[in-house]
Amino acid sequence: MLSLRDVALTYRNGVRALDGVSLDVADGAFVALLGPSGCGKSTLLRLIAGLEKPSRGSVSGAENTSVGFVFQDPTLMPWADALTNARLALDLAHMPRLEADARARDALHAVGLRGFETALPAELSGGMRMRVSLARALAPEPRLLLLDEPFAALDEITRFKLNDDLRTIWMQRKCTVLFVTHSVFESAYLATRVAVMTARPGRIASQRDVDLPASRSVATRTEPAYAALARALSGDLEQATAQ
Amino acid sequence: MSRVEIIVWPCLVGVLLLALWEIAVRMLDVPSFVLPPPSAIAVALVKDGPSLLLSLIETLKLTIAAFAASCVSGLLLAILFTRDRRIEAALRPWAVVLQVTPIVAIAPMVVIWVGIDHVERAVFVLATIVGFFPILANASFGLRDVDPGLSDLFRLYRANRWQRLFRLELPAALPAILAGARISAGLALIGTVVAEFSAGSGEATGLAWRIAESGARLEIARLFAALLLLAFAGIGLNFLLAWVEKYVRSQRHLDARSG
Ligand SMILES: Nc1ncnc2c1ncn2[C@@H]1O[C@H](COP(=O)(O)OP(=O)(O)OP(=O)(O)O)[C@@H](O)[C@H]1O
Ligand SMILES: [Mg+2]
Repeated sequence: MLSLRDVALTYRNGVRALDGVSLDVADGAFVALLGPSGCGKSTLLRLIAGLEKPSRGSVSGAENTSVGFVFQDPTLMPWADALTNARLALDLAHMPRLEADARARDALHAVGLRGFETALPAELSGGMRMRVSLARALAPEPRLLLLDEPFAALDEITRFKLNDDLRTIWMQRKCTVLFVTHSVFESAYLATRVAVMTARPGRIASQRDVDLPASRSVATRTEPAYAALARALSGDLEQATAQ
Repeated sequence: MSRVEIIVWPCLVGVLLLALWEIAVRMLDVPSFVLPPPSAIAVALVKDGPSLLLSLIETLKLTIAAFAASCVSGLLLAILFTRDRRIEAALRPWAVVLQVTPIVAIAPMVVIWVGIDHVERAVFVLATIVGFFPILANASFGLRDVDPGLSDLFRLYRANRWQRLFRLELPAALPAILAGARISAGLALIGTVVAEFSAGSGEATGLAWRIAESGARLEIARLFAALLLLAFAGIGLNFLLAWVEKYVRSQRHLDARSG
């Protein structure tokens, strides 16, 4: 279980990004993080990935798991094609080339980039680059997936499709997912639990379990229970932002 | 402006200037040991061309050797610098000392140390010293100019230092290194000629010695012909490296967007 206890983080320039964050994420959970811009969501993910050290409090449970991270920006190697970018974690783990290629190719197919293996980042659209970044995180089949607004730059059709694909991957691999988003609808559709953060310095204002059937589809998006949940989350968000 | 025009206009200006030069020298009766007319230079180029070309090849051989040595030593030193701030702090002032010391001033020393019977070795060492600094400066800038996000990613995936160097830092630094190489190639050529001048004696075979010899014998047309060859060599070298740079850029499509 991933566990954060009273975590605070102040950046070197004195910005207090997080203060008093406590959050438990059970193994295999899909937790969505909702919060206003600048409240420290990205910072929280970086902390969990071990890329930042907390100024106070403790982060445990992620040290010895494999972590996949999709940053808010695609962050691709501009000199390498999509396949090479998707293969990065496997290459760094010294996986044999043939196997690594096959897995990276599968990951690219999973995010809808079949046929773009040899394209360079500059030849891809913003949304496609983000999907290469997602494929790169998925390829090593991590136990913990940290996703920072991965679908914000995509059109609705692609976003809905990738929402479904992500849920399928999550259910098949039984991994843990932490998913940052600005959309109450997206968080309600994807997650088993939604945590709402306050404005900066961020902390968890409220959490809500998602009581929707495990199998979700287009039909879910029009169900009354889904609409009610989205409305409740909007209320949570409004309250948290006002605090 | 079309491609053809880009070539035609400068050539036209060149022809015009040459014509003016020829006419002025003839009309004013300038002695040819002061300023020979272009026609005399052309004659010298044809007559002495083969022997001058042989000298140029000697000079270019040393230039290329010195350039290669500059690239290797500059790059290795830059890699060393970027491993540890303390190494850089300790060594950078000495690199700067080397850079600001005029090679003419250290030429006699270098000749005594390595060039007593082999002037070309002294020339090689001196030209390498001149050429290596742009590589060092550009490469150490480029090796540090890594996307912080990618750097985080390599940390997340526990890349070791070699993976970081070969898969992240060197590819990221390549454009800066190539830009440095272009400057360095020009400096290596200048360095070689200057070093030939200051280190060379009777046994030197490079182009600088032909120039000095022509000057001493007041064969100014031959001197100009040698200079012309040198200029062409410099332009050729620059074009070659500009082409390599452009090729690498196009491979990355960096200019597909930024123009
Ligand atoms: N490297 C940094 N150095 C200093 N301050 C930073 C740094 N990164 C972020 N901050 C500050 O920390 C706060 C939280 O930033 P963070 O990126 O975590 O917000 P966020 O919730 O992800 O916002 P958004 O939804 O807009 O992405 C912001 O006020 C930001 O200015
Ligand atoms: Mg963010």
